[in-house]
Amino acid sequence: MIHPWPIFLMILPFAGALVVLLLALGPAIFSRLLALGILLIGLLFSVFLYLGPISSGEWNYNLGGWPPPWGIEIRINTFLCLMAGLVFFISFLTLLCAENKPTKESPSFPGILDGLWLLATGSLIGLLLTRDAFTIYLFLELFVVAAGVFIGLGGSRAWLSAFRFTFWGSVGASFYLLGLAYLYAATGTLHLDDLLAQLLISKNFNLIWTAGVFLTTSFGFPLIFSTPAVFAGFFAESYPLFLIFLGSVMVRVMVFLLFVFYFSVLGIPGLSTPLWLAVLEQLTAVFFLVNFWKALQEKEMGRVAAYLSAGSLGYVFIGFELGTSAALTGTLLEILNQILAVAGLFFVSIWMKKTGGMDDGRAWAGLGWKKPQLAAAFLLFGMGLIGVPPLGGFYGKLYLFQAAFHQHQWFLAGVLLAAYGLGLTYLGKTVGELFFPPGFSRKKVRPIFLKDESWKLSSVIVVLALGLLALGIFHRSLAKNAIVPALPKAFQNLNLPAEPFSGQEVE
Amino acid sequence: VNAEGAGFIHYGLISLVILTGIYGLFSQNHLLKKLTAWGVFQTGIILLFISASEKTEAPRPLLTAGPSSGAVHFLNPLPLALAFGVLAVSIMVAVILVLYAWSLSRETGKWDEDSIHRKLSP
Repeated sequence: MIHPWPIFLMILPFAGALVVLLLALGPAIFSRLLALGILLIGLLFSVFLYLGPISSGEWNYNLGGWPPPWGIEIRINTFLCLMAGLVFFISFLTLLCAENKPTKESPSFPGILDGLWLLATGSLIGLLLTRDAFTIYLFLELFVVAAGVFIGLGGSRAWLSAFRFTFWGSVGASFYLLGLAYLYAATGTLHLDDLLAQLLISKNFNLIWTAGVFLTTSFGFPLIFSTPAVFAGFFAESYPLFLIFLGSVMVRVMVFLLFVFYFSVLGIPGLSTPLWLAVLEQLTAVFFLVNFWKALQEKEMGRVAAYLSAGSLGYVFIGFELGTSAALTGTLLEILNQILAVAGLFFVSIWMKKTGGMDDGRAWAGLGWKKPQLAAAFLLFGMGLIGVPPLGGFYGKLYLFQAAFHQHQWFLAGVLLAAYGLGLTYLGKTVGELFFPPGFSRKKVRPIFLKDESWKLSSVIVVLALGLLALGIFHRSLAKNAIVPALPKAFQNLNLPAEPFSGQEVE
Repeated sequence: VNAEGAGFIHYGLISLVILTGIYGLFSQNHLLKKLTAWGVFQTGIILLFISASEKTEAPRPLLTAGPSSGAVHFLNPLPLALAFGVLAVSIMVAVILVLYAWSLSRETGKWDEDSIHRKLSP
């Protein structure tokens, strides 16, 4: 159904960014309030679309009135409503907690920060909604530039991080362009659905493998930024709140784009996985899940959050490897859960730093009695990410395990169980350290209930925790109404296109 | 050289440009040399796009006074437009990266990434 709402959702943050940047010279409060208002409108609008009109199917908008595959198509369905809503949600919460005063290290106008924030959010929304492969490249570069300049606002010590982020992000986008050049040269189209149709006709498997390698490389660059070693080194000087946006939202949007390319563009029936790739895929999943082991040995909360976040990506990649309808449903549910849980963990780590520091491992001992709110929040988001019922993370992993079991993929089922076991071990160890450390006397401790200055952070954490719980409670309805209809046609028992897109012959 | 050989040389040269760029990305430590390597890599990709518009003995896609013989007989203009798009984006990114590199060099007196990192570390 052709409708203007998808383009409205995409344009909203960009138009807002322009106005906010124009207001940057004025009082900081104006630009901040406007930016927050725009993000809130985006969030409410996504929720409205999800609950109301969009539930009947998907909506399209053709830029300039040019129908696909010739023109650029913007598309939204129930799952994309959820993803867009989460991007706006985390972006709103993060900006709400950000300082809006110029500091000694960052003397720039805060309005510029707000404008760049909207630009970065808009780029991610654009990446989610567009069905044109070249427009995806433009949004990738726009995100890299907006985020790079944003990091650079942190002062002279952050310039090297900003250079590295912008440089390697652009190199990633160049690899994407290289994969796209191959696909375009062989098919003559840039529309994602039409690419699938053309590849289905040509069955050019060599082309699919080559493009697949380049596209994986391109989206791999942003994933590298989320690995704990790079994360800590790169962004030590940057705004900590930006890490939340980067670690939870950006990484998961990139993983979702990988899903789109693997299963909606390159995943044509009859394409069997060679042995070398199957081994490589399984090693990749194991590599990610090793991060759970590393989290066990880590003490600093921010780094623990980064390890758990990186480890959880392993579940998503296992879902890609299994590649069945149940596995992909679990994967998409897992992506939604990870956005909320990772954001929550990073918010808690920042909250902890603001209330007395957490770099010293000894600070864990008895924290459950000293600062019960903090400890409870950390445990809740940890449980969400690791997948303790009734939180959303459990059901995504359950779908994945069921898929591995039904396909007799015993190695992947074993890896899933091992990762889950490691996660639970980590939780058990943390509960022990927080509440029952050796030689700790509870009687000597006076609990400090956090309030006053950290009300914004604590409210945000409560809201995120409710979201995590809602994801678990409504997982069945989400899977039925939002996730399964968003799966590629081959996974919904629908007929695949037997002729070029829209029945039109493409040169 | 026949058409197949010419195509082999053409795409071989483009591959060489791309590989030179990729090698430079990972081997260079000087910020401006890194940027140059990225430029070379990007140039190779743009050449690949332009090559996709190629048709045997087809004229450029420009309107002429003579009778039109249909779009199918002209070079494909879309890859050329995409190449311009890539060029514009690359210039925007390169300007920002050069500004960062220049600012870092002014701050530390170095162009080398490792030395800058050491100087900026507390």
